Amino acid sequence: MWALAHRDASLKTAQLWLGYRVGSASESPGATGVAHLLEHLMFEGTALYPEFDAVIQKAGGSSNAFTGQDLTCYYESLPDANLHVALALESDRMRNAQLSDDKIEIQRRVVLEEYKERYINNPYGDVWHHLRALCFKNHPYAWPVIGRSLGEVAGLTSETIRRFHHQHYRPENAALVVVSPRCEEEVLEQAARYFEGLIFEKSDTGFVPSTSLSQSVEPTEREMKVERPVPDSMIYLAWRTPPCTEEDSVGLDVLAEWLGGSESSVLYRKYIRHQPLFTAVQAFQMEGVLGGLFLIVGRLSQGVSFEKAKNVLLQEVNRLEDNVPDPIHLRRVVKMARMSRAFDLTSPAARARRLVWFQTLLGDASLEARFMSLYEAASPEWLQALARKYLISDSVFVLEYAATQE
Amino acid sequence: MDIFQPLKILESLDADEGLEAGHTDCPVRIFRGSGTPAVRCIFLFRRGYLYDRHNLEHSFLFNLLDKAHPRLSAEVFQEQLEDLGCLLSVSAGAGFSEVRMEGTSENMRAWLEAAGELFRGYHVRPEELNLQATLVERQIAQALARPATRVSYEARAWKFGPNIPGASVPQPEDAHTMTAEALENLWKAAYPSTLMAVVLAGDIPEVFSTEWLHLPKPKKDADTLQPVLQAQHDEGHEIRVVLPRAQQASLRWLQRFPRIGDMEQYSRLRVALTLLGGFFGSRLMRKIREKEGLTYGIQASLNQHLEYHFLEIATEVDISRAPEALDLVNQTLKEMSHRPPSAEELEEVKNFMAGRIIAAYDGAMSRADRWLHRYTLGWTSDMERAYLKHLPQVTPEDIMKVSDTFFQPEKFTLIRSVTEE
Repeated sequence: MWALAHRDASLKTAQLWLGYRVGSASESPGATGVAHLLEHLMFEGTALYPEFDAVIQKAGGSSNAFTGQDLTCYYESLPDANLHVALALESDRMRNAQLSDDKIEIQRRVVLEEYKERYINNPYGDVWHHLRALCFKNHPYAWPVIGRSLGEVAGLTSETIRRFHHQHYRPENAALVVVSPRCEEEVLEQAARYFEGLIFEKSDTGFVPSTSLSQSVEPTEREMKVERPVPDSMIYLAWRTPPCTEEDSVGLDVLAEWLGGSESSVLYRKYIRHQPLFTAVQAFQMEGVLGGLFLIVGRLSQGVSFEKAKNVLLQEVNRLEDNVPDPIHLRRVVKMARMSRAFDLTSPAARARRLVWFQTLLGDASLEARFMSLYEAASPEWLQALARKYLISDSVFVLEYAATQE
Repeated sequence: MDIFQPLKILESLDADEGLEAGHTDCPVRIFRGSGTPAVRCIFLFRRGYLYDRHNLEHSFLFNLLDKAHPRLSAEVFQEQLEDLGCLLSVSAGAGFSEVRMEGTSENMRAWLEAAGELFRGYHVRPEELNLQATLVERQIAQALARPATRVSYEARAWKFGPNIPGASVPQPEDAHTMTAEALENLWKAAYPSTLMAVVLAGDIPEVFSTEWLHLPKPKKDADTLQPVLQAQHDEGHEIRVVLPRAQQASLRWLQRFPRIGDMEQYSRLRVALTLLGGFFGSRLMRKIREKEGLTYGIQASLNQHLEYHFLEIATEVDISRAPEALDLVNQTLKEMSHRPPSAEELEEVKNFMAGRIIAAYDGAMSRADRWLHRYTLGWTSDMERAYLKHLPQVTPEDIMKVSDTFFQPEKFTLIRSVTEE
C-alpha cells in the first residue's frame, strides 16, 4: 500500500484519506451499483469494532466516503491525538468488513431511497443514465455510479457483494494520505503499525475495469431524445476525450473553462447575455482513467428549438477550427485556476483529497503539481489543436432532454 | 483502544476575536495564516429575507449586487476582477447576506478596492434587471419542480412569511415584478455599513492591520427595519403540499421560538438536538435509517437568527412508508424526554461536538467563519466562552428536561408532501 504523510504544524486536527482503485467501472453489466452499495456497507462495523461511526465520533471525529467511476474514497477528520483511532478502524475494515445478509438488506434499502431521492424524485435526475448509455456504449462507464436501475441494485446478491469486496479491498489497491501536525516519519511509522500484516494473495495492481466489456465499439447511434415533465428543455453535446492520465486531458479542461466555465466565458456572453438562446450554458470535462467526455450543456430559452441550439453551439466549437481562443480571456482562466488551487490548499481535507486522487488514480501524487504547471502554460495554439483533434462535428453525441407539459 | 477525550481540549480554547483593524463604522477583523497566498474577504450584512417585505426582494437585490456597480457594466466589472485573479460571489440568506471575495495576496489591494466600489452605490441597469428576472424566473421554476425543494419552500414560507397575501411561496412570475427604483431604495434603506462586518482571512499583508478601505458612512434610519414575521404559527398544525407525481414523501417538522440567550440552556439544547438528529450516530439516524432502512438521511437542525430560532427535522421517504416514518419520528421525539442517554451515548455526542468545535478553530479560514457565525447570531465572546464551558457539563437529566420543553411532537408543525388531497 502506498502512503504519504503531509505535515501542517498549525493544525490540531488530522485528516485521513484512504482511496481504493475501484469504482463503478469495475462492475459488470447486470450487477451495477455494487461499488456504491459496498461503500455503505463499509460503515457497518467489524467483529472488533461493531459500530464504526460510534468509535470515530467518541474520538471527536467525523467520517464519510464517496464512490466514483474509478475511485472509492473513505475519509476521517478528527483531533490529531486520536489519529490512531482512524488508522485502527480503516485497517480493520479493509480486511474484516462484516457483510452479513441483514446488514446488506438494510443498506440496500437505504441506497434504494438514495436512488429515488437523487435520480427519480428529482427533475433531470436521470440525465447521466442516458448520457452515459449514449456515449459509452459497451464500455465500463456506460452506467452511473448509483447503478443502472433500481431493479439492478435490488437484485445484487450477497455473494456478488462479498466477492467484489474481496477482489478490490486490498492494500496493494489502496493509497493512504494523512495530513496532520506531526512530523511525516512519525505518522508513517504509526500507519505502518496498523496496516502491517495486511497481506492478501497477490493480485494485479492498478485500476481494474470491468473486463467483460470492450472499449473499442464504434457507436451506431449518436443522438437520443428523452421527454420528461420538467420545466425547461436541455441539450447536451458530448465528445469522447482521452484518459485523464494524458496531457491532452489537462488542455481540454482549460478549453472547457475558456469556452463555458464562467459568466465571462464565450458561451455565456454570447448566448445568455447578448443573444439569449439559453438561460444556462456551460462547458466542462468529465474525466476518467479510461477516457472522458467534453460536454456543453444548455438550458433552452422558451421557444428555442433543439436544432437551433445545437447549431449555434456547434458553430461556436467549429469557430476554433480557424481561430485560436482569445488569449486575454485565456489568461484570466489561468489566473482564476491558480487562485482556486491556492484556496483549495488552505483546507487540509482538500489537500489530502487532491493527493489521494492523483496517487490512487494516476499512481503518482506529484502529478498534481505537474498538471497544474501544464494548465498554467496552456497556449491558444495548443487549445486550438486539441479542439481540432477531439471536438469534431461528426463525432459529437447529442442528448435532447425535452420538457413536456405537466 | 485508548481514546483521547476531545472534550478536554475545549477548556483550552478561547473565543477568537481576530485582529481588529481600524474602522469606525463597522467591525473589521483579520485572521492570519494559511500556508498559501490565498486571501478571503467577506462583507457580511445582518440582513436577509427574514426582513423581507416580499418573498423575493432581498435575495433578488443581493444577487444583482455585483451587476449593479455604480460605475462599471457587469461585464467590465467581471473582467476587472478576473484580471486580478479574484472570484466574487454573492449569497442572500434568511438572517444575513454576504459578498465573498477570494483572491491572492499579491494584488490584494487592487481587488479590495475594486470590491469597495460596489458599496458606494447600487445602480440597476435595465438590461441587467431584465436578464436577472429571466434567469431567476427559470431558477424558481426549476426549484419548484423538485419535490423536496418545493416542500422546503413551503417550510421557509411558514418560517418567514407569508409576508404578502397569496405569495407564500415564490412563483416564477414574481421575478418580473422587481423594479429598479424599488431595489435601489431598498439598498439605501436596508444595507447600511452599520449592519456590515468585514472579515479578512488568510495570507493578509501586514499593512492591512492599520490601513483600511473607506467604507460608506452609516445610515441610521436603516436600523429601524425590523424582521417581518407575520406567519401563522399554530402549534401542531399540518400543512400538506400536493405533488401528484412524487415518488417520495418530503417531511419537515418545524418549531419556532425566541432566540435563546442563556448559554447554559443553549448548550443543553445543542447537545439534545445533536443526540436527536445532528450526526450519523443520532437516535433518528439509528432508528429510521440504520435499523429500518427507511431513508437515505434524516437531520434535526437549529436555524439560528438574531431574534428567533427554528427547530427543523427533515427527511425523504418512500410514499408508501411515510406513515411509518411519521410514527417513528414522533416516538423518538417523545422518548427524548423520558429515556435518558446512557453515559456512553452522551460521551459520544459530546465528544463528537467537541471535535467539530476544535476543527472550527483549525486554520485562519475556519476561525474567520466561526467569528462570522457568532457575529450573525449576535454572540459576544463571553457567550462563546460560556458555550465552551457549559457544553461538557450537560447531564442526562439536562437532556430530558430540555427535550421536555422543545421536543414534544405536538409543538411542531408538520409540512409534508402528499400525492393527492
